[in-house]
Amino acid sequence: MTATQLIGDTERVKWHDKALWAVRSKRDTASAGIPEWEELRELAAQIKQHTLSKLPDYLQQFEEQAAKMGAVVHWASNAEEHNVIVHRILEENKVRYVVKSKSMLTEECGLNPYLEKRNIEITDTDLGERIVQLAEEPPSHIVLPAIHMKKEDIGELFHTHLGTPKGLNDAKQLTEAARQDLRKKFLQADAGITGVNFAIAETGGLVVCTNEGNADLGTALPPIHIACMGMEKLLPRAKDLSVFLRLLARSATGQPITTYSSHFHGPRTNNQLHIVIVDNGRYRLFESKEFSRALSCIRCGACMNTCPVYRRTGGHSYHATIPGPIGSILSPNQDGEAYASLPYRSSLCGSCTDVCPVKINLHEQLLLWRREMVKRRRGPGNVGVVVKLVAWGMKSEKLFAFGGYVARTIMRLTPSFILNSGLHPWGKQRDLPEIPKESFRKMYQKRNKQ
Amino acid sequence: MAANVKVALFLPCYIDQLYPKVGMATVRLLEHYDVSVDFPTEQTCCGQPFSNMGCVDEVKPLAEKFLKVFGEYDYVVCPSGSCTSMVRKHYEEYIEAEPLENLTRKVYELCEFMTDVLKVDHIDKSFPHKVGVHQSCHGLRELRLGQSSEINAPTTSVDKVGSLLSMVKDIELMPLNRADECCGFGGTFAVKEEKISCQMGHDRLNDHEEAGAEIITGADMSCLMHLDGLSRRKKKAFKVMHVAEILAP
Amino acid sequence: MKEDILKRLKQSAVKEIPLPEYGENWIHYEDKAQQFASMMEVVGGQAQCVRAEELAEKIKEQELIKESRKVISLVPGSAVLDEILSRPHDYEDVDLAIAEAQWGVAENGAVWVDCQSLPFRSILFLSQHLILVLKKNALVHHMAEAYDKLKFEKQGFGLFISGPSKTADIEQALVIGAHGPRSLIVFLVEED
Repeated sequence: MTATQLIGDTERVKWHDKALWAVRSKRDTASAGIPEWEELRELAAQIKQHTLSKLPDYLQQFEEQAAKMGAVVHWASNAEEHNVIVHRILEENKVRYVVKSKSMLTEECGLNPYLEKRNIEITDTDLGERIVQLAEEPPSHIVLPAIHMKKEDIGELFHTHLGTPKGLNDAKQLTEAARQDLRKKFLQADAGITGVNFAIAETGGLVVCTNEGNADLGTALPPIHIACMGMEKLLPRAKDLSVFLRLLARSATGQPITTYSSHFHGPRTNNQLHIVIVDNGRYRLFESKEFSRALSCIRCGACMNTCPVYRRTGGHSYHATIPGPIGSILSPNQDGEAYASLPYRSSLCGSCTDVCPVKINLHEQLLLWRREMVKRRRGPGNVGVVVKLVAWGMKSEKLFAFGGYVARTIMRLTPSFILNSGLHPWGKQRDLPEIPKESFRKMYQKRNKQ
Repeated sequence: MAANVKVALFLPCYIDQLYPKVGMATVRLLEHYDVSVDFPTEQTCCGQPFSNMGCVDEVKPLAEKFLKVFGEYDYVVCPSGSCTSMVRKHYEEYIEAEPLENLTRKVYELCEFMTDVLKVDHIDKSFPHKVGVHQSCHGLRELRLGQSSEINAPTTSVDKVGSLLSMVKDIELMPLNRADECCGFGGTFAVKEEKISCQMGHDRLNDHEEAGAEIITGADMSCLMHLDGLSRRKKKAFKVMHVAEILAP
Repeated sequence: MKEDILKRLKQSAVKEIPLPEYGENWIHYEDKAQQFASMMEVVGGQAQCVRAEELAEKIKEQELIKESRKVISLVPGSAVLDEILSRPHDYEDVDLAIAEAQWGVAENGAVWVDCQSLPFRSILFLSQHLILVLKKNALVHHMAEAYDKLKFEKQGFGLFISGPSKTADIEQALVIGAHGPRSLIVFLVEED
């Protein structure tokens, strides 16, 4: 559903908004149960800041340790390199069937279409991802990929692709159908691809968090595990997981922890573990004074759940891999042209900043992107001469008072049916206030004279 | 307040031009608590609309003008959370560290001036109405005028807007479903993303309606102008008032 | 390429700060076992306290045992048939698996299972139902205490398991039993 589509359908908007507000509320309840919650956020922010300040060192330490554990570490500068590396590993091992658990990074790199073009069957195993895969849509939320779909839509989809009875829309039965179908895929798979929630520099380990157990089935059965990670996913020490695992699920869904928090140190005996470390433009954030803190993101989705704009427009309306507040900061870094307007799709209410478990100053970075867009003259940043004129006029109190007087007079003389028509975007759904005859400064001046 | 303390009134440009009564109410309110207020007529605009668009070049001369106009006062009081926040939190780009520090120390939003500086503990007014309070975002999350629902530790010792209102006799403050969701004004957002902006505003109005509020109030006229505009177009029964208008004699 | 990537990461805009220390003043529970049990309920599982000498009997009593065709146990003394299979896929038809957990965390009802002692980790995920056995005195208050106990010096796999597998991907309706086990019971074993 595009923004216009979703917002045009008032019932859908209400439903989508309510669903996501419920997730935000669950986060509130869960976080309130931890007295040291705000301390955890501060610790997480500090740990990430420390790690980012020494990222090259920690990356090298991680590679060393992971190699000691028997993993093969690959480095990809960009999406293309990532896809080539993953494909090469699969080719070398004559892989035909791949199962993949949730990885926004692989979404970002366009891995699925790349592999499918090369005759490799890749099945997304997270239920939400499986649903959107069957629907041939991108996920609309990074944690709840199919939040934009009603169970009737999903029932239709499963009827077509999985042979469930027409009209079946019971969540339990639909999930059971998916369980049976995906179980076959797990057992048949030649390789499993996962994302990485956290990579530990000190031990060379990877942590993958799921509720469904799909990452675990996908790596416990096939002989090859390929783990794809953005290079910012590092933590220095294993013990730092105690901070992040306490924050992640509570922020994301209000659960105390995901059902499975799997710690991989090297491959299974006699099997393979490949780790692909990906840059893909993150270096630009790394060296940016304004936006480097965006690299702290642990992809919990809390900012999306709390964002009044996201709730009412849905993830697809951003046309970006990652939607919502964090997406509107990361996407212009990927493509400043295509995503120039995203930072403006916000009222800058600041709710996102207050829920972010790693205390990214999200709403401030959105404003900083607007400055950048003005500098680059891109999208809404390409301001017209009227804005500059008005700003220039504001420098003089006489011009300001005069300009205000003229504007008010015009508005007072214009008949209401024109003034309050849809000619100007303000007037489409709003009446203008009653325009006063005198400004405050006039009134105050008069009062003082008395 | 001691006679030698110089207090300036800093008025948002749109209150000066479109809501002069709110400005007058602010003056009456402050004078009622023995604050003699100056209105330096050289003031125009804090620059927020331009900052909101990312136009830093346009803001700079306005910020410098602001410092010139208000720099010598002991206190600068403003009936707007977002304009106050603009000066206290967003002037770093435009003003040197030392003069900026001196300036930010004295700029207050109206409600926080009344609770933190004047330490008002009584409001001599009766207002027998059902009132819904809209917690404007900048005031709430940047100035911490109240406790935001997201944060799990006290960010403020008292809800500055709500506590002043609850001192008014006979007033009934109606609890909302979503205590601090954004109204959708957001500056240029109100015009650039008109559909979303209005959807958000309508949802706020519905919340107040369900809560049984007759009057919607808040500390920011921009939010209220947006809510009022939506309400009047739909011919809803609400009256929209700035807190100054409720608190003032 | 690695060199290209590291070369580009020369100048961090992020100011260096020391790694913080923490965990001393974190949440403590009056009764860890009670908190653990109530959190297990919250996450859709079940915890039962049992004395060491009663464990085998308790397991035999479970409805799951009676209903299961194939049960695999990796817990010595559980009085259920042990069976070592040759491929991870061979656990595909297991109805109930019983295994040991090493640590339990009161704050979130999670148990740590180190898969060193398991022939294949797949048994924990393919099995339709799961029973884990944990010493009651191996409960800690919170995650920092848990990580104090864990070592990652060798190649291997371990995980925290909190309740049965679940999903809410269809209109946010919680469904217990996604791809992994449909239920989880943790026996908290009291020894003298």
